[in-house]
Amino acid sequence: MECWLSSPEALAPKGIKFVFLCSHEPKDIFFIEDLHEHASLISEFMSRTLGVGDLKVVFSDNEVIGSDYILYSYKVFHGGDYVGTCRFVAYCNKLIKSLCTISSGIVFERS
Amino acid sequence: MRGPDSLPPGQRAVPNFIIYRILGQPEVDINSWRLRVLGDVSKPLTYAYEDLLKIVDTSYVSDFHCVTGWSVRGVVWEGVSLRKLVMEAQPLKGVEWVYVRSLDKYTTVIPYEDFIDERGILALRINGRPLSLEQGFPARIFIPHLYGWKSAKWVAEIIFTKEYKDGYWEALGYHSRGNVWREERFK
Repeated sequence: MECWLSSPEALAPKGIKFVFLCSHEPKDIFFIEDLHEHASLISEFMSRTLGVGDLKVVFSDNEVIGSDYILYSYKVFHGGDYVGTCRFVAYCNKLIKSLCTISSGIVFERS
Repeated sequence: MRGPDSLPPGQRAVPNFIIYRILGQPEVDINSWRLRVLGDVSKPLTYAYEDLLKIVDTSYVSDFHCVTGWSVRGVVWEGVSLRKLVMEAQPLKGVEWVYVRSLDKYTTVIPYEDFIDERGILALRINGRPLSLEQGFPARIFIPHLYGWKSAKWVAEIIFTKEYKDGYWEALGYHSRGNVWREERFK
């Protein structure tokens, strides 16, 4: 898995400070459970990169994009606070990309 | 191969627009609103709403396609061709991107070659009426072969540039072009 961290100016109006964009080898996704390990990996990676502990990535919902893509949305919590969102992109039931956003200054205020 | 009635891959027809306002509904004071055309151009331009109404030159029927998968068929679009704005502003050699900024601070980026497509329009009217606030009054971009997130509503600035920069959805992984027939949904 390769990830890039950025702070896009275009997302500042939404209060988004950081974007993690990760690409990886396609992985079959047939059940939500198939994403659990990936969610944990992303969570650990973001926690380590931002220098904060205990980021939790929790499944929220999913939606179809077109007919072949499904976005699996996860909420990111720090302590008990909601601090961001992850979207895992699956194409024809294969996970191909992950994108997480971390909002506001909450992370750094507590780091 | 696509026929005149075919939808792009992965799209389904719905009866009407679904309204998205990801950054909220901006307030519009039409008396103070201006459209600015700027960046790498020979002649920066500023238009009031009345100015644009006087130069309306385009009307056609075209489908609208949202990247989430819904399409609205047979929408009547009226407004100013983007080519007219381009000809007036005279972008400099080397311009490859058009960055659009809206009143709500929404942004998107469009390849220059798509922006100057003959059907690209700064829409002022939809289906015979001025745009509603929810549809982007006073003006929104529309380029038929690009997904709807490129069709920025409440347009305030059109910025020609040589350098690529992500807009709102592009920063969230969506495609830099967004061609509906090539199904360019994600980067």
